[in-house]
Amino acid sequence: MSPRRASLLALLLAANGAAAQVPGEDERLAELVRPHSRVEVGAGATSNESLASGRGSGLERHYAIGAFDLRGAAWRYNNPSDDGFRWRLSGSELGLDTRALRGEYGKFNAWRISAAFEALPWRAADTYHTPYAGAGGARLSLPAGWLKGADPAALGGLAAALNRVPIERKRERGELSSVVWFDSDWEWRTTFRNEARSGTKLRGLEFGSNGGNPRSALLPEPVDSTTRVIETSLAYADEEFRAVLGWSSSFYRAADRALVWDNAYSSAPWTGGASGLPAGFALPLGQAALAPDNDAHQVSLNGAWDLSNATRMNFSAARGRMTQDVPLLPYTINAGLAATPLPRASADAQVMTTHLHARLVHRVSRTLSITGQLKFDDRDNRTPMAEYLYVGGDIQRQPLFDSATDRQRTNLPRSRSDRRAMLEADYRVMPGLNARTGWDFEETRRTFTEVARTREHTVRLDLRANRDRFSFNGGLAWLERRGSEYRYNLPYLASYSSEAFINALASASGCAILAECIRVGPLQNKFYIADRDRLRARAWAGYNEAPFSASLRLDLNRDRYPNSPYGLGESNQSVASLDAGFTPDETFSASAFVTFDRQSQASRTRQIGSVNAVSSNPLADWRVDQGNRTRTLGLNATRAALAGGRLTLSVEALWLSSRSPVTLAAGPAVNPAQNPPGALPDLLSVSTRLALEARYALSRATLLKARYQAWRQRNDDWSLEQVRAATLSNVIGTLETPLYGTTHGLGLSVVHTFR
Amino acid sequence: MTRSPDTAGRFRLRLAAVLLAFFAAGTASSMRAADLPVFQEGTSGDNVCVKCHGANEKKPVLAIHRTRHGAVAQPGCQACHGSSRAHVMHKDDAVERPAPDFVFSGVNRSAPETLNRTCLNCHKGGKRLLAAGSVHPANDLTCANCHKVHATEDAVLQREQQAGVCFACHKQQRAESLYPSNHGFAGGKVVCSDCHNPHGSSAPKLLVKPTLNETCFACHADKRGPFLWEHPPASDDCSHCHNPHGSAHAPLLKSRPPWLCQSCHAGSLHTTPALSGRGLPREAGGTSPSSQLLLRACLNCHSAIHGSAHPSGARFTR
Repeated sequence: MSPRRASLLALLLAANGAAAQVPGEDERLAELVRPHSRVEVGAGATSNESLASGRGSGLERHYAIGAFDLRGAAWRYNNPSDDGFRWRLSGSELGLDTRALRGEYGKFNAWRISAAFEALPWRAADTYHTPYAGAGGARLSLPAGWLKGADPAALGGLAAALNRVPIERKRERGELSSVVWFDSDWEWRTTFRNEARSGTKLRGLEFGSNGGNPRSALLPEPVDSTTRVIETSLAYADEEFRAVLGWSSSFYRAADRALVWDNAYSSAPWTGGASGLPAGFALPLGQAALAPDNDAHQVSLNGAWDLSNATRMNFSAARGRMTQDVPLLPYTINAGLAATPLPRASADAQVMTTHLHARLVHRVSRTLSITGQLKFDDRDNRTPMAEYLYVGGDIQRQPLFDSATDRQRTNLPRSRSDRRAMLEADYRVMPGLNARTGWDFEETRRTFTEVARTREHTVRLDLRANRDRFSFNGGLAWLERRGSEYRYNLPYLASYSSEAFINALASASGCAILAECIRVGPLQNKFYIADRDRLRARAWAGYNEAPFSASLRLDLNRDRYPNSPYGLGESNQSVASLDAGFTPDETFSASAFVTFDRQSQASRTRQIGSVNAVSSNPLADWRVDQGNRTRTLGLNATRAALAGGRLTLSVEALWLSSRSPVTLAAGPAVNPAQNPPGALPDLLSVSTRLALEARYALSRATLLKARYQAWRQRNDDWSLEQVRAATLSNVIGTLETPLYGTTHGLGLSVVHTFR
Repeated sequence: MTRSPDTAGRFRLRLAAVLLAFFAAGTASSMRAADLPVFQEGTSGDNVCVKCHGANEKKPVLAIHRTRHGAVAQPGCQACHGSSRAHVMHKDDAVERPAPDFVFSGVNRSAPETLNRTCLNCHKGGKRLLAAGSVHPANDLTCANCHKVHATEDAVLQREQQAGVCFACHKQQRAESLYPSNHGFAGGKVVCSDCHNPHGSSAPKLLVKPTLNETCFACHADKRGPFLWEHPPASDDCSHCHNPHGSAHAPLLKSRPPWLCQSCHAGSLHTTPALSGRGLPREAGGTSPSSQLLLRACLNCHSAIHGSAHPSGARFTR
């Protein structure tokens, strides 16, 4: 025995003495029935570190390949003394930032403990540029000698100060869990999970918006947080009744409460006006809140009860609480502006959730079964309401309470409750042919929302058939949602709580009824609460007779908003997928698929030109049509038993092309600056991935693995192309470019398998 | 292993030939097949069954002993396949051998409900608790449609391979997982079962938590709040704006800002302009570069779009 095998065997024995070899075991039989362990080591390289290889691939220019899967177990076969102990340790992608480690140890049907670690990198942008230093921290600074200006073009030395800063973050997730089976009926599970996130993400941060003069920049927001989750459950299960009582708690903690950054702009854009600043007023800093620490707890009871051989019932109940009580930041960080005290020291935000669910399945006869279901979900937002002052980006003077100001705002703790009912019948028309029809009802009630109540009815019919080599599955559903009266200004009037301001608006608009005339587009209905008609259809047909298999799947979704003259008017998606497979024997298999996805959305809006005007001019209408056509092609083939049974070759290819046109049609009264509209180029994304792998068996236990991969990305995105540092008058450009490039990668490794 | 120059040369020639003939039909000899051990009678356990099935790699029943199912004296073959007396006792070679009592795949597959009950006899708790009446069994799918209990590795339980099992039916989600903006399915870092419980759930779409938002918050706890200032669609339902499987518009957005935002927001001031190619940079043919159109569009300023904890965050800028 080689030293390597001896050491691995020693590792096996050390971890589990019970896994010792059974004396006299038949070696060849053991190969079939005993768990195998595997170790892989090697190295790889890529031609560059472009994001073309994937934002979460973790690939670097040079990297090590490391993986292992070690298993220890008693050998049941021909071994009546098996004590049922099992262990397993595995690791994958150990040389990359995507590494994962897992392990478990336990005794069959008695207990098991397991642990896991996993890293998930995410590279969001590699061409981002900023003049700020301190990325990753909570304080972003401009270089010494920065010359402020009224807009990006007037910022002294902006172009020279731009530095490339990779925007990337990482999650590292660790988990420890256990399960104990007390006897055949009781089970206790506990899981502790810790997820740490670090890095940066891009965030638009505003310096102010007084008088329509916002100034902002896309800055690296620090990501430095942990989420700890504890879950435990006690389960009981016998022949007729099963139930799980569970508890879960989640604690989100962020290292930073706020991001503070140097103000790049002078105060020139914001001087004058009632809430403006005196000329030359110093505005050194900006401050924004980051995601706040928060807790969530939930207790749940889930169960299933076999009332008879023909009747089964499921039930679920859960009660939860989400809280957030981080101390509020001051209205502004700039001295001289923060004169108004906060109404509360913290939001003391609290949401209670309740979920109830029951489902009854009854088999009426051998051919007919009926299912009924009731569900109730409630999100009760109990966050206290208070009046706050809106201070736009740390630059505005604060108005007095109860003055005629639109900056006196009340927070609206929105609640939502859903009631659902479902009735379904499944009938076997004949052997191999089943029909199912169902009715669903959902009522949703929301507070502080334009529509207080919506009701949706669904009727559906499904067919499924199997005959010899053929199978078919198809369904059609019609959903109709209708709401109570659409009160366009309800949330506006509830939140803009200065009575003097509202009265002034009403007077300026000449409206007697406030709710009908203030500051909203005419008849612009929000799509998620608007009346909606939805048609959903799907069909799947399959053929399977060795060595061939094929399937065709069609999905259609069509939404219409019949009572929304403005807003989203229609949304459509149709998807067709064709798959084919060929497996003549166990040494060769090939499969291919192609998918066509076509989406479209149409919205209509009326342009409103001034603060309080309610336009009645249909010539100010404009319509936007957004589309997307995506084609996906995949090919996969594996050929084994080549070169005397030593060589296995496989190839995998994926290709995707996504094109998103945007077309705009505007009426003649639309602001001449946008009328007639200029055409927008299509958004385009084409990606190709090719992977070739060869495995050559050096011996019965050792194989050599070579893997070549190529990724190619081409993206056209008008939102990034040609946007220089000072292209925009109120946002500092980032010089980001759409992803474009090709990356090649090659990995070589040796895989050793042993028992 | 060391090779002589002649051997290495032959190997290279053979490798080149094999590469050229990769897609050609025909079956080369298999080292595994040639070296297969032959099961010998007299061992204990399921020896009745493995008399015939022991060394047959097409039905690798012995590999089940590398899995948890091969742990101790239970379950044996007949625990899942039934006593199968007619199948076992069959002696007349002139007549086709009857199938076992419970067959999990192929043309002789038993009734789905019978098969599922066989598995649920032992796996009756945990994630299978709400299986009765759930969408997968209601569509005649059995446990064995997704799980391969005889295989050393059950693909659906391997994070790297799980999506492939689900995508065998869920074609649209397979395509979406490849879209320019996706949830990171490659390499199994995010897998279907992170969000869905395929065995049964009280939530829509078999989600693991009672609602979609609670499911999303399991990983995205920074979006959970509750915030002082809530953006109604965000606290209502994440899928109002996001498609979790994949999208042409990052980050997983259903459509492109600013029009996604404008489909709801048509108030006064700057929310209603008809933004078009005129808002592109001059070098790209525009005449009035627009900060509401370029870079992150509306999110250049309104970036706390999931909610704000700032006392002046009513417009989600802070």
